[in-house]
Amino acid sequence: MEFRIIARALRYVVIGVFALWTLIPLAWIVSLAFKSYAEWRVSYFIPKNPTVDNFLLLFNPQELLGRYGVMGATAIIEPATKPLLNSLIITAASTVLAVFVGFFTAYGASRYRVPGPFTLFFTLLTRMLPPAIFITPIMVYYSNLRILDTHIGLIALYSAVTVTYAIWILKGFIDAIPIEWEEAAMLEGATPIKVLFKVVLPLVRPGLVVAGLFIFLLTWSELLFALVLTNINAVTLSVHISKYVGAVGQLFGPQAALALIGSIIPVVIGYTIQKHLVTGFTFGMVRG
Amino acid sequence: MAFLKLENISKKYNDIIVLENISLSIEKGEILAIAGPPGSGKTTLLKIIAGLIKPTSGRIYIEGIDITDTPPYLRGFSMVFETPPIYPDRPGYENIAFPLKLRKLPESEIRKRVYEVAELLGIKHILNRKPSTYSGGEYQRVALARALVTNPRLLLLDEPFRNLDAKIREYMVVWFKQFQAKLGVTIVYATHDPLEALTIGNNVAILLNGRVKQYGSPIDILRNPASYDVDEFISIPALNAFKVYFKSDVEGVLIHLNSMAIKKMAKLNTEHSEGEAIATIRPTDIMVSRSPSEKAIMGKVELIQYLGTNILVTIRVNDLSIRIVVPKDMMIKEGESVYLTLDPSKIRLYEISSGHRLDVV
Repeated sequence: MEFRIIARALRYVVIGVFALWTLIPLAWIVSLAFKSYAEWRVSYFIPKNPTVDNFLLLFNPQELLGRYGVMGATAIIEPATKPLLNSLIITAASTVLAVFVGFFTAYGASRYRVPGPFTLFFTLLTRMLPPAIFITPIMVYYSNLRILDTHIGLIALYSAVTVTYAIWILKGFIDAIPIEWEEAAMLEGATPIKVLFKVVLPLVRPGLVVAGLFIFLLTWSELLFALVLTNINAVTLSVHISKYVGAVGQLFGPQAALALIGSIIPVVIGYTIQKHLVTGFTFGMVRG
Repeated sequence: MAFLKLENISKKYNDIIVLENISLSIEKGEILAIAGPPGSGKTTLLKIIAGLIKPTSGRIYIEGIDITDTPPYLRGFSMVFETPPIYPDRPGYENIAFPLKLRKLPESEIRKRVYEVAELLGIKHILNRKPSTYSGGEYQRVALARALVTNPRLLLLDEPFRNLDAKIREYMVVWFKQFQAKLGVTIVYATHDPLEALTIGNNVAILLNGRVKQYGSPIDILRNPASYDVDEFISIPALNAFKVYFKSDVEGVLIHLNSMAIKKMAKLNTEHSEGEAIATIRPTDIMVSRSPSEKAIMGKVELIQYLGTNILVTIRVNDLSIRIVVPKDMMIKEGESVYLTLDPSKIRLYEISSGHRLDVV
């Protein structure tokens, strides 16, 4: 009896420590985002004079410059609107592209055993090596192709390196569909293409959502590629956050405010599509 | 002309022969039952008829027209698989309407036909429900409804009732037979259960190891199995089989089983007038009595198994063990002495090497 209470208490302690471990930085960002300049470097959580100034400054760089003078002058050139939009466009487009291509590849791999197990495994290779290895050759290619600092360039790269996740996640889902379910439709008058769109696609919808969400989150927070490959036009949110650095020090307040905005968007997206995750991947077989 | 005709269908995967020289035919409106143990090639044969698998050789004709190379979506058949094609992501109505929507029929026509077939199968109440809420019987009926809603030329059923428990299955098989008679649809029905095949088929093909070992009416197969393996497959509970020595003369055959000699009136289908053979008799074809009578053999009860409706007893006669089904109200104890009467006409003889039937009926 006593042992059980201790075990239970221990469990809560462990969970609590882990929760704090992950939540403290997040809480710190929230607190920082609402602190005025004077409080940025102090250690208490609750701001004495909460302010939304940091948020307003994000979209008004002139004001920012005026307020922090030289400290902010070296970096702040653009309002955060454009990077936000860039991130949304680039992430959404590369997610859709990766999931789309991934679905067809996964179907081929699952049903027709093309492109063969080795090639399929090979697609994972881009994820096994540190991305820094690729970045120099890619920069050279992109420079020759004149797609440095473009949306297309980032979309192409992001979808290429994440498509392997879509393939492997969706292959699992497609493998779980009995082949007879497709054959029945084929007998009933569906051509192979129709089988793909009217039978397989609706059945793997939860898989599409899982793969899409996963890839969206990865791409949304990607920094290295974007930092190297963009400059002005296609700057993404994560790159933009890193730019709030002046000659004297970092502008913690605006950085935290932008990070907060940047983390709310995926949370909202995740929340709105979660019902697709929960509903029906119950391949409820026959019950006697 | 036969409605569906299979001509020398064979299927090989690399060197593995799955089906060998299958020739069968069905008349319109009939049920052909294909019975065979798991792995005998039933599903492959059905899929070849459906066009989902290409045969290595052989042709398929429907009403005289060669359809061997016609793709499945142009054949106009339906199939109910062992894993019934009920998509879990959509309710019953959408599942049944699926093949009609593929045909782009007008919505009102689809509605009418779905409700008609649902009414017929007694599943109107599940049309708006998701498949995860169905009972086993409902699940199978939705699968059937989906297969029937297109008015298929030919309906292929692969163990459609396998996942049901015994009672519901028995009910479904009888119900299905009546249902088919009313509808008149032509059916190929595959099952691992010989009794189910014999109950449901107008004709039955016994498929063993990729070959049709016997093809005929249920009663013919039941009474006159063509070979030892067919006899063994269709007999439930398992057959009594003994190695015997036979001697034939003009009057009949004398079968020597250890020290017993049994006279059977039959002609033999072999040039040898004597030799070794396998003799079989079904456990249901032997009479057991507790009092001696003329020609009865004495034996000792070795083992009693309760089968539910009756009792299977194993009886020791000298050094033979014979399995016999007796009525369940017969009072019988292990170790007791009983008397067996063998009806010689129920004994069948098979060649040892080939398994072919020896005694001519």
